[in-house]
Amino acid sequence: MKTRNEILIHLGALLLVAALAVAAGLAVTADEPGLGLLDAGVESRPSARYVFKTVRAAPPEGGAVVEPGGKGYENGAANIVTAVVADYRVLDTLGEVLVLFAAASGVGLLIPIRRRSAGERQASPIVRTAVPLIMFLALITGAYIVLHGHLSPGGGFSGGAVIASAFILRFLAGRRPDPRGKRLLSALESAAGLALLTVGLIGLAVSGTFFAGFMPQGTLGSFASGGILVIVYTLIGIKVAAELSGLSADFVGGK
Amino acid sequence: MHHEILLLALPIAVSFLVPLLARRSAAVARWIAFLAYLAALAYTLALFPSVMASARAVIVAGWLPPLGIALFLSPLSLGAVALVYLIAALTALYNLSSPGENKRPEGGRSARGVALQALFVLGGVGMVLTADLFNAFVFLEIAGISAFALVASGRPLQSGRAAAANVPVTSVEKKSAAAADSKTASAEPPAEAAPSAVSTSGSLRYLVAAQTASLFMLLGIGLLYSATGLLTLPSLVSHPALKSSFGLLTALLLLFPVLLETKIVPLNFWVGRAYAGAPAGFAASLSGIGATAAAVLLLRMLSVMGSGSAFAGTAGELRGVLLLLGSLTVLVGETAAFREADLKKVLAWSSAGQMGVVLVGAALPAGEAAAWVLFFLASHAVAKALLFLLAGFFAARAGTNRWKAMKGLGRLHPLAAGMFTVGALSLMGLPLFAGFWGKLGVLRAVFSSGGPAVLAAAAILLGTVAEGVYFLRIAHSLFEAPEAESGTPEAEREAPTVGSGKPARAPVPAGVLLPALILAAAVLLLGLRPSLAMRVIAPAARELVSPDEQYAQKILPSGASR
Amino acid sequence: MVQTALIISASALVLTGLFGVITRRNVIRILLALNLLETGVNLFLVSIGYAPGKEAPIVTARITGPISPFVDPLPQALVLTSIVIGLGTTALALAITLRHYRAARRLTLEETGHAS
Repeated sequence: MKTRNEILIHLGALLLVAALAVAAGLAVTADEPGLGLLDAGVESRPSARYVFKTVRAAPPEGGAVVEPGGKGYENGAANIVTAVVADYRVLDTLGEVLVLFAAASGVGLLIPIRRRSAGERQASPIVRTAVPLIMFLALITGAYIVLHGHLSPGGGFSGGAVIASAFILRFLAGRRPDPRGKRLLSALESAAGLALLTVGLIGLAVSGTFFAGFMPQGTLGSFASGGILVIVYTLIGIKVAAELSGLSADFVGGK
Repeated sequence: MHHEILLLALPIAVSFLVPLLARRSAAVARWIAFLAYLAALAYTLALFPSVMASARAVIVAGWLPPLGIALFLSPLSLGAVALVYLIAALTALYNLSSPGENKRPEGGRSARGVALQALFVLGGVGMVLTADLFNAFVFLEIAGISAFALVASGRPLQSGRAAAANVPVTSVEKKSAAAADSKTASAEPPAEAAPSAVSTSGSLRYLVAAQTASLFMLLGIGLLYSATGLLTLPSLVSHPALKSSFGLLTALLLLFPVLLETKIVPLNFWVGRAYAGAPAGFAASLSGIGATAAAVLLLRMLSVMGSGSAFAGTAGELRGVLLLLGSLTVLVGETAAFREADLKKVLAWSSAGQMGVVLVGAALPAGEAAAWVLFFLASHAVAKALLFLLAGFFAARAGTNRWKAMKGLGRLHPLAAGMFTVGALSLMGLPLFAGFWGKLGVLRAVFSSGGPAVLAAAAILLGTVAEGVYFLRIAHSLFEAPEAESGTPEAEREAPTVGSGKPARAPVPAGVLLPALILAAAVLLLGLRPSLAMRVIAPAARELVSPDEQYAQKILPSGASR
Repeated sequence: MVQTALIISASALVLTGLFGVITRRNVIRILLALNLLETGVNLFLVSIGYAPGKEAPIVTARITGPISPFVDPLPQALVLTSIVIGLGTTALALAITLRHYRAARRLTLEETGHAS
């Protein structure tokens, strides 16, 4: 049964949440002069310039045109979200990579070493047979998602997660991670990170700003488009895959 | 070439390199970090002349704000970065000597700890430099996650004798009888000392609180974006106003995580245990770097939220709320510090009280106290780092964090205890020490603005009195003659005193002495010659007071208001 | 319409998550509530970018300005980052919880006593 303290906390939390809901609701629907929620309708927002690739230069007379097969855009990726993530706002993405890196490092630092317990059951034959097949599919799908981030939804993070899930499946099927494998993953993770940083620094040296593109933007819609975007996202994909696999290996334990 | 991005790239490189290169040896990792921070500090100082002449924006990937992300190099941001790298370098030096608390035999795990510290430093530097709100959020998260991990990695202290034998012993923390109990500890293989329940619970509390606060900031960013279509701070400076209630909601949401990091009431319930659980070297970083960087970001955001901006309708109410919260924080922080027995908790709550003063100063209309607030912040960062490093050293020597049990350590190590007193006197605000000018300036500004602000002044004065009492108590304990033989009079405590196991006059390691000397010297220098710092602080204050000319116009391309 | 419904659902998730974070004792449940909170915030951000009748921001056919045929791509980019950050936080929190369990032998945080 709940103690009186707990009941008080529950009531207090309920009141707080209700008060917040009411206050927020009033603030958002208030009838006052000035701007409010959703005032900047989608068409009129500055982010439309990401869509029409007119961030650097003003749109030409009669409106900007973007089409598959077109060349000479400031950013050649067909997937505009990828363009924003890996080009226009790449510093955020670098930060995101670092967050994941910090989390994986933290897990490696903190997780108590699990002694292998004697009576661990092996996974069933169905799992053991199916896993290699599913792993194969997962690896191919993951690689595809990573490599085609600029053409279809996906990219380094989601693709990396799919690749990592292949390894997680392997752990689930009973294969315990070995220390050499973990060291390899950790080294791969750091190497991919350093490579990513290097790409940024090359951009600095060649074009004057961090992560500036130094490869041609190519034809929109083709595989070789988007400049360094593909390299960036692929490195991120490798890093995320190695990181998440290493992280799961840490959780599964068994040194 | 916008090479100043190296200010960010250096700690990133450290965090990636260290796990690769320092597999075998912890010392290699720590040396790499130390040298990198020194290099970064040198680079920052080299940038000063040109930035003081003209503040400028550094763009990334060739895209101009507001659609691209830009960093802002100015007296304020560069000054804060210099402070951060100074404290980072000194803390790295301290970690190199590692007075007993942080010993990790395994190279791999140590390397990760160093990488995490580098990422924490990066988070601090990034949040100060960036001009984009979402980017600030990301840097806050980087710093946060590193902090959660590093706090949780704290271990129970080992008594002197036990440290020599490297056998984990029962911790002498209060209330953690259920925690590091000796059976668990001795069952572990010697390479893995027991984790500390205080550290993990403190870290979890901190994590949940800080993540919730960050999510609120994200909500605020979403609300702001939906109304304005913009994410950058400078764009808000001359922006048409939001509805007043909507603006107040958005402003408060945006301020949540920085208020939490600067330990403002009511978001500071996590402070005690998190600091108690943190390893001493990191506690210094958390306070000196983390709270300082967050405070600078807070000041920047408040400066943008002033009149004439998107938040024009809410400026007045916001000021009132912040003035109240700041005063409460001073009272709560100093009272809590007064009642604490754990030295690290005393210092942590004292920091909260000081941040309350910062907030009071920042909440004054027209930024009257801006320069003094910055001076106060800088002197706090330096003094607190000094105190935390020395506290770590004393705790390692005494085998406990309780200041009452540190009797007589001052007599064994008079230099160290003397420097501790210097730091304490500075925080109290005595003349001749750095803290004096800042506190005086803020108090003067508070008095001159009259009205309810006078109550804030009362709070600050009360807080100062409390500070005097508890700091002098601690100093007294340090300089008191130790009891005959070993063992404190409190028979029920197992706290081993100075006498047990450690040679009577084991010298202070250079890694503790050197950073402490430098920080103490800084405290005295700022106290005796404040004009040296004012050369940077005065233009920095101008940035905060006139965000339109000194900030927004230097970042946004001309004519780009929306 | 769709956008209002999305925003209301997002608010419900946020408020439920907040309630859970404050009131739950068991660490795992607190983390679950935190995840709810994160999901709610992400959903809110995505719904900010919604526009009725528009498509996902991938150029598959010729488009001409100034009217964009897509939903707002920027909130989607922000949410992408936010989701990854949430993943990192959850993973780290679970590792700390494991360590906490090893140290304290239970899955609750000690009562928030007074500062001492």
